[in-house]
Amino acid sequence: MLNFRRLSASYGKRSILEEVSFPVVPHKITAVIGKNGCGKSTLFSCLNQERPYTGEIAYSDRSLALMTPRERARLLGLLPQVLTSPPVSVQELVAFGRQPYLDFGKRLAEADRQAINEAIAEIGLEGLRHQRVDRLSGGERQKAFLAMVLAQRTRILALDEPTTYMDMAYQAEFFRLLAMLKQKRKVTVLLILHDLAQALQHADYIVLLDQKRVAFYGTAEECAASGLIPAVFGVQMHEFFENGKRFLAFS
Amino acid sequence: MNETEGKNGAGNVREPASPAEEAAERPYKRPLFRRAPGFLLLLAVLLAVGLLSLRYGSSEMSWGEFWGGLLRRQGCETQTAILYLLRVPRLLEGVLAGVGLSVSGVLLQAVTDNELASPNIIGVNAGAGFFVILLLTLFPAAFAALPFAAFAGAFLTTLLIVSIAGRIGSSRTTVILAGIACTAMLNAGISFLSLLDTDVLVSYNAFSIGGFTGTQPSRLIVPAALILAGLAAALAAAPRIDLLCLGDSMALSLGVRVRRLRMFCLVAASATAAAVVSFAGLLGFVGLVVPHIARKLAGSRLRPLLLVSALAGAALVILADWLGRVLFAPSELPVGIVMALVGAPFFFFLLLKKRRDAVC
Repeated sequence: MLNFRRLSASYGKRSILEEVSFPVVPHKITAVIGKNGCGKSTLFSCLNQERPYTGEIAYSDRSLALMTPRERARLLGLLPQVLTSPPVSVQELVAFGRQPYLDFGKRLAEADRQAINEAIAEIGLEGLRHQRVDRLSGGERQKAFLAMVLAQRTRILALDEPTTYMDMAYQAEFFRLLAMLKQKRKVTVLLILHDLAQALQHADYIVLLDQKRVAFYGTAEECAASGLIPAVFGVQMHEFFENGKRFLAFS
Repeated sequence: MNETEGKNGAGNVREPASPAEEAAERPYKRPLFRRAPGFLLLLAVLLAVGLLSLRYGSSEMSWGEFWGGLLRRQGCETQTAILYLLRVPRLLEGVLAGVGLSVSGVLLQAVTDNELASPNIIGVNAGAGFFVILLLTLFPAAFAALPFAAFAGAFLTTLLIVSIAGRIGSSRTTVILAGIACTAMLNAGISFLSLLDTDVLVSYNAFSIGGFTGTQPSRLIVPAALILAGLAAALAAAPRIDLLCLGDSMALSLGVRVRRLRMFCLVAASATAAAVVSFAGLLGFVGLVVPHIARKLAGSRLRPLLLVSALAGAALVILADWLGRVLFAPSELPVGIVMALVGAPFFFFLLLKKRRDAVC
């Protein structure tokens, strides 16, 4: 299990995160939410070992900081919020996801090609396979990067605002895909989300960050019932039911 | 359009295919210069240019004399001397310079993610120039030591830039900024030393223009070893270097030790460029121009790009040197000037193209 233990990080003298602790439950979706500037992306940077921090981020009691980059890359697939526009084809980009498994001087094996083809098919990018990534739209590019992370076949996926450039139809498809990954491939997912409705509807667990600390950790139902979201975000939460399903809206 | 056109088998009107759909329906074929036939074609071009450079020069010879001289036949001693004492060494210099500077340029453009990067930005030229003019100022007759001074200056300057950049994050931007600062400082040093002793300028100018002097092949062994080792190391690390185009965050998440890889690329680029400077002087534009040409042929994946750049770079430098020898024969235009005449307009073209692409 991935665990954040007493994580603290700062930019110079300005503290961003203080004593943040929460588990990421295996085979479930955990969403991290909070107001702008609360430290969500800093948390993500610490997970990627880009930013120095105190405390520990551990998997099965083994600190991520003590793993080699390749060991981390085989455990944890990360998709940051800001994506580049590399001058390579979609297929080549997705193939990059297999790099952590390629030894020095070795080419892609059959298993690697299978992972690449499955990732492209799962995201629905067959028609764009040989298109250059730097010529795709923002949404298509985001899908291509997502396929790359899926090809990495890691136990944990950490995604920072993965639906930013996606239309509503694809956002719905994306969350269906996550649910499938959770059930079939037993993947653990950590999501950084701005959209409160998406977080409460699709995540199993919620981490609410407020004033540099964890203001809430628990299930999505507990979070919705806690009354903290209106207090932290200054919004009104509205609950309604349709066809037996519960939906949340915020105003 | 008649009734049958624009309809599918069920007779329904079909929407015109988008460019992406049309592209997807065409069977995909890897570009020529990312496959063996492309490399062989470039090798053939290189061999043809090499043959041109050996065959034609300021001294005329027939084809029979040429082959006789090349094969060291009796009766062709003059041609043998011309070929083996002058043209073959220059050909070797041209090949090594083209390969070394092209590989250096490719690595620098990859590691800084900047298509306008060239060996200049890591202080190769400024460092070599400063050490050469310093040597000439302190020891005016020490011409034999010039290659060592040039190499030491180029390589040590890059190490200085790398260590400065390493202290402040070794990102792409810090490398470029550290390079600009060091280059400015060293160029000021060059100007200062040339003011102290204006006689030194005469010796320094030949070095700063860049050209081939027909060095004995035995003196090219060490530079050749450095250049080929740099190319081999770059080819081996190419799959990892490719990941840098995804940004540091993404590359790190895929298991790349980004800082270490960036330092490796800078050192390899410096070593190959410094090796070239040691025998060819400050030969400009090759490291900037050739990667661009190669990218049009082979795309941006580093392995094919390195191979195409090496072959194209060697061919271009040999061709430039040959033109410099024959256009104004018996006078000679140094290859550095020919490259500047070709490279400067190309550089302006690149800037205009970047601006046009940004506006579009």
